[in-house]
Amino acid sequence: MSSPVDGRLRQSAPVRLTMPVAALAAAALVVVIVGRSAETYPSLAIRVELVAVFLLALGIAVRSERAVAVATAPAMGGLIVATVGSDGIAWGASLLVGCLWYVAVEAGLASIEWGGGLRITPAVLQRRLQEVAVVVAAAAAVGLIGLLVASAAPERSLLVRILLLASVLAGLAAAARHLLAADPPDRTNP
Amino acid sequence: MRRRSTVRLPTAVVVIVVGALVAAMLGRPEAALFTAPWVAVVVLGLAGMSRQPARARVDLVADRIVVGDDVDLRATIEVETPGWVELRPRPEATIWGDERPANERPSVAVADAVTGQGPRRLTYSLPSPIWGTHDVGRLEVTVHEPYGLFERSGLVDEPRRLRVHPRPVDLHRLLAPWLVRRQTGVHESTAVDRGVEFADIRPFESGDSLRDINWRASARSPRLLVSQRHPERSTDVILLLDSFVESGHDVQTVVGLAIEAAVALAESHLSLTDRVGLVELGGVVRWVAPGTGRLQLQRLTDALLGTRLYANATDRDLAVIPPRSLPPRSFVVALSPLLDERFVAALYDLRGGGHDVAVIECRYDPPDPSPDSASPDIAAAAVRLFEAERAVVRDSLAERGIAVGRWRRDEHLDAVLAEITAFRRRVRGSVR
Repeated sequence: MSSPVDGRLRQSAPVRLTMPVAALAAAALVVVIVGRSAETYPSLAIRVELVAVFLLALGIAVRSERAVAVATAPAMGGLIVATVGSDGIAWGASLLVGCLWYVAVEAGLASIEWGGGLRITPAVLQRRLQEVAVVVAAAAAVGLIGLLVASAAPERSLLVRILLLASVLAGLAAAARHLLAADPPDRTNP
Repeated sequence: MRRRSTVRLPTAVVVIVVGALVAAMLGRPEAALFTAPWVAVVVLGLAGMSRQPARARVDLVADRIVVGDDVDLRATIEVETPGWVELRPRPEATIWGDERPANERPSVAVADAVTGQGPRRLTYSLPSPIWGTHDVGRLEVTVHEPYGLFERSGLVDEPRRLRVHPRPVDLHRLLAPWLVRRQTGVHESTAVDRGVEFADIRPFESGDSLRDINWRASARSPRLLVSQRHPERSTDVILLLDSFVESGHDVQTVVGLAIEAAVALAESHLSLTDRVGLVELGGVVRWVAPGTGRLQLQRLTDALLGTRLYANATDRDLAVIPPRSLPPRSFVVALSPLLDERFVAALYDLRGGGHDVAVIECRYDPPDPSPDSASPDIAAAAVRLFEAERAVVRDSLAERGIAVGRWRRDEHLDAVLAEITAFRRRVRGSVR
């Protein structure tokens, strides 16, 4: 199987620049959506989101994956602040904010991973875009399931909360078991 | 290869747990909905993670290149799941002839997608290294698993020997040896026998071939005269390489020049049915017995490219070399900056032992004294003294009939050979 990779391939400028720009654009959209959906404390929600954007931009600038990851905390915090005091549930906005922020984080991490002189092929970019698209589609499906579960039970009932926590705990336990089973000792080259 | 989680996995887990707790405690499902992509990425990433370890190997596309060519390598990666791989070559530090720290070396890292179906071959290149033999088999491989939750990384460290030849030099002339073997070749012998080059005329004797009668000369003589000719013979050419470390920081260039000349001479003489051998005199003493043919050229080239410079203060002489590798009456072409007394002494010994010796001096020019230095006059005087010492060495060699041609990179080797040939023609009768 031959490879299209040429060692002399120069990483194209669009790839180098697109990822940070995409990350910041998605983060900016998050700020706008959170600001619009906030009813009680819109300015506070926007400020918290701006902290997240700042952390994201800082992480990309100093090539720190941790900073990019940590930026998710204020992003979620801003969304929670935005929902405080509202009677209804912003299903669509929350899901959209979650997906946009995920895209921002992925783009930020990609700009860090692909920086430092790494020459990537279009196939890598295509694969990552495909994975992000699959995740967003799956997230929409997860949100739909959540909506169905919530509609089946009275809003904010204790049963829904217990179900939510139990499913998270069960999921984490299953993931840990899967991880332990999938990592046999590696004695191969290299 | 060791698997480790990327920053995505702990981020996703923390986001999911915090989102679920906040949603449960505050009764706001928005927090849980925010975590939906992270739930999806964890589920998809764990489902797609590979169970088999990844395998990688490195091969050279061509194990011999010429200085100036890029090094093409092929990495074969076997992974179970689709994802993308990152290749970061880690060749030895001296491949580019300097000791730059890792972060300042040329970056040649490449990345490509893998499908997880069968081995994937990725080709990458390293910038042109300096002449010599290098190991370029070290490669850092990182396999990014689906959805980026995990990556496997490891170092492939398989010896992959690359031979970088100096730039080929086309020679239009060669040094004519004074001493030849009995085997037929292309060098004119001083003996009189069957050949092409006219030598002399003598009276016809019984047994002479009629084809040798010189009719033009006989017509003007009362007797029949026959032409005598010089036969063409081959010779044993021994390339004597100086690898003593005496050239300061420019040692790589000077020895590089010597090797460039040695390869050119070996190629040219081997094409003329001469036997060519090699003796390296320096930090180590190595030799290749004279031989002919393409295989011999490869042996010589490999030995030349394997030349290493070791500082060594001990006396070195040629007595350890077996006579088969340094045959009597062979034509020794020395390649040296003429900076080490031990090497110059070896040249005297060879000439005294009856060898025909010529020297190609690979010139090392000391740096010009800086006008800003504290004592430019002293520096200039030092340079003059250095040149004077070398002139003395050259004169001393010339007195013994050893021709010395000075070669710098910006000159063609033919010019140096012409200079040596001219000297050898002048002194041929007096010193043989």
